[in-house]
Amino acid sequence: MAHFLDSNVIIGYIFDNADTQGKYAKIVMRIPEEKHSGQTVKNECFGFNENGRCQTVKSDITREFRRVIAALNRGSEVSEILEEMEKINTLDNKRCRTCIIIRDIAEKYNGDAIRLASVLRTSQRNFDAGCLRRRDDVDKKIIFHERDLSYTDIYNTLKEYIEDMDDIEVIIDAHHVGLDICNLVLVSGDKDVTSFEELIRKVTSITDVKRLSSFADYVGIQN
Amino acid sequence: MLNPHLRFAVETLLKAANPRGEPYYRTTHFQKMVFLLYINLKKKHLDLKLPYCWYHYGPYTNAIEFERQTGVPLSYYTPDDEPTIAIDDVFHEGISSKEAALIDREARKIVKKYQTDGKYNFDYLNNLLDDTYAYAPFEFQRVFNRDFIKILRRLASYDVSKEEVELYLDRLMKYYPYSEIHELYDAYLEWDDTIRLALNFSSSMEVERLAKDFWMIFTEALRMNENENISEDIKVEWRFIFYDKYDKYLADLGKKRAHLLRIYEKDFKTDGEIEMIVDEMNKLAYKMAIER
Repeated sequence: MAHFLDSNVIIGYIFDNADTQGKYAKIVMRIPEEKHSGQTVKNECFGFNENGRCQTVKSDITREFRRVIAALNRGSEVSEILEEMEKINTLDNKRCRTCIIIRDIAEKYNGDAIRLASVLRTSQRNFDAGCLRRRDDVDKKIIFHERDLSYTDIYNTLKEYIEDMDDIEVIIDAHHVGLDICNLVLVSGDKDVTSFEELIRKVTSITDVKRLSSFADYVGIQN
Repeated sequence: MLNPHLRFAVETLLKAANPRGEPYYRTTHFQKMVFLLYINLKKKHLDLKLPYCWYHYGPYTNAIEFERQTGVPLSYYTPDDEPTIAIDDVFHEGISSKEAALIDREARKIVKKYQTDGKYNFDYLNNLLDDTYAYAPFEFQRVFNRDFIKILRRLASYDVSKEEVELYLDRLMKYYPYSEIHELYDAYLEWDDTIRLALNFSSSMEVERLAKDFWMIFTEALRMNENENISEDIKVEWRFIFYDKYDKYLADLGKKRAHLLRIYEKDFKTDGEIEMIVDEMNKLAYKMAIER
């Protein structure tokens, strides 16, 4: 059966997050079923000019790492850098999100700024390269479909039950694809979508709605 | 005319520097010399109010503002791709004889510095650049334009190792004018990491191209910050141009970086400690992406 993937599946895969839903996203990407998605998901994940959630978050994290490398290169003390990051966090809630990671790494290389900068550099490159490889995978394995019809009746029905407009757009994107592809299954890690399984099956062309965590049963595919 | 001193200084300089309009003296030489003349006269309390900015190839007189101030298009003196024109009569209206003598003396002094027996020295542009860059507002510009770019040319002929180039990159990082050119700082850091990747995984030509591309966008930002005697409307226009070029630059840098990272990934060895850090980065990234 062909799968239609919600944005949280793709985000989980791009950020290879083995602890939470990411490990199931990995399974979804590895099983041989055809994979589809829509423009709403693509825009949310990758944006029009690479400014979607994935690129923005990746840039935020690598940027903070590079700023620390630069500060070390200019001779700043690790303690000063961390203090500065924490100060920014206090002023601008949660702006330097990598602070905890960097603090942990810095503790291991206490006093060795050169080694610390080198580890930070390699880490941000590997992180960046990994995200890029999985993005290439997404482009290779998922067919993203454009939609030019609004399906107003379905939209209005869904609107009565589902609050988030983006969720509705994703379901309608899937419905649009489901008109051409038999037995299309919508896969989502979002309870706000999966809890409306019955309604979605009733009013759209979607055959089934699966929770991302349900892919835990696919033994042997994870690695 | 708003600024007769500037017109007089330009014509006097051209008369001293290239009296017959010969091909060894072109716009680029003129641009540097008129800036040095402006600086030297300022030290002697005569302000030419030269409308200039620091740009791709050093100090650069702005043609629009020049014409507004003098009533003469700059291209009249420095036609595109041609030598500067020969000046027979210098326009001296509004200039006292004392001022005229001072300007004439300083113009000749500058020209003489780059000549031996009345002829320009071989590669005198290089010395002119060194002399103008002595007045550059940031050490970063000097290191980049006068050292780093030159060393990259030697990388192609294996005269210099990639480790030596990395030392220059470290120096550049120390001198980047963070407070003044803040808008480009993160792009600069991305460029720095990308060019280090290119040193290991690409050709010297690609390394040089990356350096030149960065210099072009850096100097677009530089001219918005480092200029004198330029009207506000021109600066507003520069700002638009910068942001337009900046978006294109970032997209291009992103593509080049992606290409290099794909090569890098094939080459990198598994390291348990780095993997653990990357795992943490991925966890954080997932959390940030989902909560948005």
